[in-house]
Amino acid sequence: MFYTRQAVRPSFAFLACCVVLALILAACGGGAAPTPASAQPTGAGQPNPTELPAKTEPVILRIGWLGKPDTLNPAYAFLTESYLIFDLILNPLVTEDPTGKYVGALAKEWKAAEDGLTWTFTLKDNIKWHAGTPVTADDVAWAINAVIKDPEGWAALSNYVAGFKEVTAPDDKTVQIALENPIGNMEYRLSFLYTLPRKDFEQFKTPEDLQNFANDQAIGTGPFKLTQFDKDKGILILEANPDYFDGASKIDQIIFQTFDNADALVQALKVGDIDLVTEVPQSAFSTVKGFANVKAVQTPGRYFSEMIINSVPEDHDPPPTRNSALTDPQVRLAMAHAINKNDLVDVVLQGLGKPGVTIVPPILGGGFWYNSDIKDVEFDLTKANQILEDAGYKKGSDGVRAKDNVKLEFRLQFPSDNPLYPRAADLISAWFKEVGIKTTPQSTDPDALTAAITPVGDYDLVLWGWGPDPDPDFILSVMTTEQFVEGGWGDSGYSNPEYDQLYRDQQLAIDKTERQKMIKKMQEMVFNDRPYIVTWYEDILQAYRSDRFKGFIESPLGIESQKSILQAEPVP
Amino acid sequence: MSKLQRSFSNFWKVFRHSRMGLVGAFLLITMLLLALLAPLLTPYEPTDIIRDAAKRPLIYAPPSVHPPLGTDDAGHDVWTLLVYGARISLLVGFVAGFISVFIGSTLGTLAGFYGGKVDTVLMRTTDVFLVVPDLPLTIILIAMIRQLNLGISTIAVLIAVIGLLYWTTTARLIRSQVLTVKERQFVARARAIGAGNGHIMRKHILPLVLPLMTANTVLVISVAILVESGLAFLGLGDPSQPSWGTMLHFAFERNAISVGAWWVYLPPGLAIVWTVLGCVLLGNVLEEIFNPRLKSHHLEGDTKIVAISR
Amino acid sequence: MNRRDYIFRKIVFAILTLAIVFTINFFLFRVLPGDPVRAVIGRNVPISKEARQALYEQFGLNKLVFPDQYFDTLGQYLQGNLGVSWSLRRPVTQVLVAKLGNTLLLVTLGQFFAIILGVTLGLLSGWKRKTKIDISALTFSLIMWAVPTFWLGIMLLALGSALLGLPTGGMIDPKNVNKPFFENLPDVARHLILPTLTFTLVYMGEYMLIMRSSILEVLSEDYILTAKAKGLSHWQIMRKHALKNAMLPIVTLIALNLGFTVSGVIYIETVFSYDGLGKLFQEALTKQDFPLLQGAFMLLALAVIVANMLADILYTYLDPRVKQV
Repeated sequence: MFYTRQAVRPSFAFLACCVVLALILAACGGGAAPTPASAQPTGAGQPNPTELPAKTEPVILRIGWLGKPDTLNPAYAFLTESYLIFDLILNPLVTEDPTGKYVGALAKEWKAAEDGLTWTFTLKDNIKWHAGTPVTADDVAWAINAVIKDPEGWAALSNYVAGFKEVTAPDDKTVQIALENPIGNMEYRLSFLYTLPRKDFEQFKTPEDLQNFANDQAIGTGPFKLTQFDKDKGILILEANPDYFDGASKIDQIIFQTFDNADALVQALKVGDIDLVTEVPQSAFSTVKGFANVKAVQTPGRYFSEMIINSVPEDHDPPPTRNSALTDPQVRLAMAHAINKNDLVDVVLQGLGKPGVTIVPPILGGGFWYNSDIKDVEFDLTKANQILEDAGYKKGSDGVRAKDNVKLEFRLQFPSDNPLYPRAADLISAWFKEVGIKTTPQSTDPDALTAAITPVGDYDLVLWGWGPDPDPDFILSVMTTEQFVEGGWGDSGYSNPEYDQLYRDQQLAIDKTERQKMIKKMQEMVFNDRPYIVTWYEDILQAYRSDRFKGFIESPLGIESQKSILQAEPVP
Repeated sequence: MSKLQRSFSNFWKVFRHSRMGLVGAFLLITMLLLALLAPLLTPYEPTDIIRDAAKRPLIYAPPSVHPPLGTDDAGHDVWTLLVYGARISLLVGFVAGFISVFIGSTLGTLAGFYGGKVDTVLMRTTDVFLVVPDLPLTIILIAMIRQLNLGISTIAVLIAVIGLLYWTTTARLIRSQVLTVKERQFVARARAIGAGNGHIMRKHILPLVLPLMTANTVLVISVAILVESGLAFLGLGDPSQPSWGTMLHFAFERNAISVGAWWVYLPPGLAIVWTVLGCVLLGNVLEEIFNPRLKSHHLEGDTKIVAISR
Repeated sequence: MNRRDYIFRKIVFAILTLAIVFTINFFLFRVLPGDPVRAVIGRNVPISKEARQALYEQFGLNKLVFPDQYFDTLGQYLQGNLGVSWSLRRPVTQVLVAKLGNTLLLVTLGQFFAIILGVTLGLLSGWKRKTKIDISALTFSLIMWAVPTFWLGIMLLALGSALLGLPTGGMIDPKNVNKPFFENLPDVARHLILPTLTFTLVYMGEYMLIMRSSILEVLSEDYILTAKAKGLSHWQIMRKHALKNAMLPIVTLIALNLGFTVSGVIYIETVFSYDGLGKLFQEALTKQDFPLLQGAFMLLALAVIVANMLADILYTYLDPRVKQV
């Protein structure tokens, strides 16, 4: 579930009361509580890289990044960084490959019954835990059942088992999943349900205990084993699993190092202190491109940004606090005409992205879900002025338009933790000024902003972004009425019964083309009603030392994904 | 010739011989002119985006491509940002400086003039403010006020908070000045003929404290400009009204160092040094003229630089 | 007033100041908009009505803000519990302690060089007044005073990394991160060069100015004239009379300076992404993590206030005149 708001890069928006309670008790009680992640494992079972048998020099891939995992416990992990590590040390039944198709991970093959209510999976051979014992169908079934039985505890994954009835293991190699209703995007859902060792995870009595488990000596089935995770130093070390069932990696060790500052990260890549950068800032990308022996990788990504327009219904409880002119479709249309998306891409993203149109980024499912028939509103300030003039908004002496004493004067907020938005807000304000709309850009703490938006509806315009899941289901759910509640993902307050119905229907649709039709229709509705004006799609910007490694697969999954790293090899 | 004119011409006689004072005045005046004449000095607005022939924004264009100072990460003209930034930096510096000096002088005068309990209370308060680390307090206050969403502009918040926190040195300086003035004969005489406190303060104390206050204002302004630039660098400025600190904030955040875009981070820093140096030189010389203390020591002899603390 | 009374008064003043800082901190926190439970647990956590009520009581939020909550919080602070960081989900005290060592290292090194160089330069320039040395030292100090700390850092960073290949930030090269501590000393030293240099340049100017005016003050005293009349050489006068007396104010001023050393630490650590309290403070600001921000502020205030108190007390032993205040 790495659809954390993209803007909140290391976002710890989720902070459970139980965690806080435990910590406070720990602080008062003095050490009686669980030790934090910093406790470093020592002694046996922790091979020190320098003590490896000196037969051949081990191949070490050093990855520099700006974040770090929030936890290695999949029950309660929300950051992209955590999922990147899970991808390398754990395995689900099926997984997304670089082309956007789903392929088997633990599963060799699978099929759904006619009625769509039972799915049967056959496991691959020779699957072993990192500890060396074999993985049985029972183990796989247990891990998924754990999530079904305790959705509160497995908060990060429980969405993926909605509609699951039970998982059984008829024999050692077969896993069967019984569903309450047909599920259209079954493979996608399974790709986050990792097989985890029962003995580590069954001991917890309450959801809080489970979530507080740091799992920083994680055992899995993946191509890499975890050897060290030091949260304070920001280091995470993985070692190749020589017995991996799909063939061992040619890289012996991966060291992840957290950098605090993008300049230092770029510098380290330049001098060769690190081999791979998962995230190059837009403003440094052209510089990185010029480095000797460095390959800069630019791939279209899933991240997009949007301007949220307060669309909370008047009769919502509590009623929205906003400028009432925002509900006028003509005002929305005029604003759409007054945003130069090409300039936003050129200036804010330094040209490294594309103008945005709909809420389903063109890259999802290899372009299958994107509605390319939608023609974007063109940037035209004269036209925007004309629309407002015709709709009865007249310019006052201060240059701000007004109708029936309602001035077109809006708050324009954005989260404070991303350097892209202040620039974007500036540009948008300047264009809006030209058409007689006054906006006050304001940087706001992301958590406070969330609190003001959902479900209170106290805002006018907000710039923010999403990093949608590979399947469009999640990003579509954001616009449903039922998500605009406390703790929900909704933010625009958009409420359209027809849209909500389509959302439910597409979940049940097993036929892919039928589902595609519904999803395209939904994109159209959002585009025309404009709860969001999607401003841009961001490219993923990465880089690696081409004098040290080759063979990475460039895809929306990133060059650091499991599939890509298994392909990579050292340059002799 | 009026009294004022006379004292001014006396002042000028001394001042024009002080090379440091003249340099300081020159630095400050040029910067003030730059700020005032900003619209005449550049054809652009700070929000304008500079474009190439294909109408695409020019990002990080060096001065050779887009004279005189190139463009920044958003395609803004750096020279335009610099001259308009002078307006914001100087505005915050001057207004916050005046507020500080006003508060400091009022407290200092009251403490010095009334003495006793008033003095104790006011000076203890000053001592408290003096030891509390001011930058963290400033940051916390600004961050809090922003959270409250009071609808006050960012610049106004900066001015208010800086003005309200950086008055301690002034209070102490003015107090000691008032203490010496108070003991002079004509004050005692005025009191003897039955003049009220208000009258004595207005007619006898204030005129004697005023010159020193002026000198101190110039110094406090330099502190305010430095503090503002630092806060803006940390991201507490208003990006829609960029000051020099805001320019440096974006240069740092948007990797101007990695890009090697020296034209983005060099000019605003030099502008700050230029202005602050102007204020310090001028302020020190003024203080020296208005507050003649030690003119020489026994191993050598000449004017003295007064150390000031940030 | 004898020395004991004086020391007692200084301690009372320090405690009083801390109490005021705490009070400001406490009420600022209450002024924050929104639900206080949210303020404690973070903004975005789905939470049931029952759990909310339980938390409400747990944190004593159902009690009066003053005096109940005020003294509860005070009690917690006195036990060293500064609350829990929103962004890091760890006790603030624990986070602060983890960063304290690095900051102390930087401050100690920076102050050491700044004091040595600043005091020497100040002495020289006061003594050799109006000479070329004095004028260049003065000019240098004035310019350093006018240079914003963070900008000096940026310039040194740009120059140092481009010309000398010095690291652009952090405390250690990532490739060395798992080596034992002692092997890493040269690397840590390399990373400390630029931040320490920035620190030294910024503060030596101030020490130089202070030392200069202090020595000027001493040299204008009558006993210097007496000494001169006795036929002592300049050097003898400096050594026997001036130096000792001029050093006195410096001792207190160095302690007083700690207050604005804090600002320097925030800027320098931010620019060089140096893993200490200053950067922590800047990050807490960026993430609007108020418990962390306030905890860090309390710690910094505590350090400065205690240092000031100690300096005041030390002064009574150093300067015989203060004995009878």
